[in-house]
Amino acid sequence: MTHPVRFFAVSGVIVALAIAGIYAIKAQPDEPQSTENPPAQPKSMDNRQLQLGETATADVKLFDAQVKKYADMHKQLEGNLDALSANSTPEEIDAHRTELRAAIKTARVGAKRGDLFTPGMETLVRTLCNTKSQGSDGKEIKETIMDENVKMPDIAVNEHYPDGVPVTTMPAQLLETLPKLPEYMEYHFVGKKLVLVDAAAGLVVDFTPDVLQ
Amino acid sequence: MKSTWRIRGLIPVFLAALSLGCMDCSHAPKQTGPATVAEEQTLASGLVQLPNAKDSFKFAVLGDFGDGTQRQYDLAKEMAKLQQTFKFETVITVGDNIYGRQRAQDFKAKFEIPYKPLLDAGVKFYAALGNHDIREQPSYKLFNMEGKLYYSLKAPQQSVRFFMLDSNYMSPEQVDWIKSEVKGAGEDWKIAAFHHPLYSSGGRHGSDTGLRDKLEPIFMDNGVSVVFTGHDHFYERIKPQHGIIYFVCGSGGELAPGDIRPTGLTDKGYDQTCTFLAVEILGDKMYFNAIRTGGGVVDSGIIERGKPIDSKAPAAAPAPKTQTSGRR
Repeated sequence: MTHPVRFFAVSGVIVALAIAGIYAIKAQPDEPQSTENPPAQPKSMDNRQLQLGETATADVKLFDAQVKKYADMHKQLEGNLDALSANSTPEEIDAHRTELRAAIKTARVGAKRGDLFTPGMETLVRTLCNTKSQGSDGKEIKETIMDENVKMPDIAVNEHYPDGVPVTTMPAQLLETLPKLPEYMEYHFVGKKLVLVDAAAGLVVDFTPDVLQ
Repeated sequence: MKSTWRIRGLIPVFLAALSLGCMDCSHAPKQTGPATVAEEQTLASGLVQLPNAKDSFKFAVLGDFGDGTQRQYDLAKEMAKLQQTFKFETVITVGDNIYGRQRAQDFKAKFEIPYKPLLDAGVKFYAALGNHDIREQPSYKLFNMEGKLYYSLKAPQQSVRFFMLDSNYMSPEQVDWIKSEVKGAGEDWKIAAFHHPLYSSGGRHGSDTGLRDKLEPIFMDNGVSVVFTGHDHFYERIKPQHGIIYFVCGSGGELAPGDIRPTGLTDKGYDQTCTFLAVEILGDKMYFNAIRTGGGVVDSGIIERGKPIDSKAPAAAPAPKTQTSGRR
């Protein structure tokens, strides 16, 4: 028969360890821990919590460079068109959008998935999004993304973002984390795909599948 | 700077509801508030109760409307009818301005034709974008967005400023802009308008709590008093949240009958027909009537702006005309 003192002592230790374990689990941060000497973050990453390794930093720099290249092309092609003003008619908006899209599609013939979202960047984006969506406000983030995330035709790079389909709302928490984009370029979810959209032209610039688990 | 707010003086909508067969109008009639003032002015509908004062700022709020349906057209007629006597010159839209395809003919069929009487009368629409709107709408002259996805707007009368936000894409840049813009505004009435509701009892969408985490502290810290949103396709006035009055005005053409769930948030809800909100600001009082197709008032009341605790708050200067600022 177990001695009462020993029983309570052993039980107490077990309970204490269990409580400590629970608190240890709860204390786990939502984001990866920073290292003692983290590499400098690229300027485009407005994320104060996530630290990037050397390879990831290089991936983001490459992504930034590709985005800038696209934005420069967009700007140049748009410069050939009649500029929209703040007082444009629907006909002018329609024509501008259509002509800009056609010009970009022609200039980007041969564009393919992965031109901007390189394999390294895809991995990083999935990590960023999943870290956020599994964090403390992950439920809200997922709910926002899935709100009116309706079934739509398959999208393709350098093709028209389908008309008449609502854009999904991008949670502010993700936009704080993802690399910053220039004017007219936006991230949007289509199902579990993260799509890089040229909002002015209504064009799919690139996308990466299975971003959300 | 914090302000205190309260709603009082609800209009005799119970009687109106009885006459219209509206089953969810829950407020008992009171003879206080705008009803007595309204007797001095005759409005288009005997059921609408607004002061209609000479120097007040009058406007309407409309959301989720551009679907080209008969419902949209019918409510547009109701707005035009009211405008004949309640001379509002501003309409604030809270998004989903155009549904579906957005070619030139869609702008006409889903906006210019139904609201032609208002546009012809000189009424200006100031738009916020919803999730169904193409991102080029800021260039559309009749939405008066001056090419910006988010902007602020000073009312031509009274001390009022609107903050028109893009809740589809709450980038860090926009959050910084909102903080700065709201904090720097000297108007008595600071009103935010955007698409996704921070509070809603909608079964289809409901409250956007992620967005709430971002925006509510900014509103609370900087004296925003009223927030207009849409997205859920009904009318709802939320019980005051941290001193702020939230409205969902998402049935300007779209409609989700029976979608209001019992959440405990609702001060007043209506999801049986389309509605818009008619609002009048006079000094420290905001009078509102939610008006449905057919002309019935489904909700009404007065929001009183309390004196700011911070007595050093800058005094508001009268604005000669509507002014905007903001960024694409």
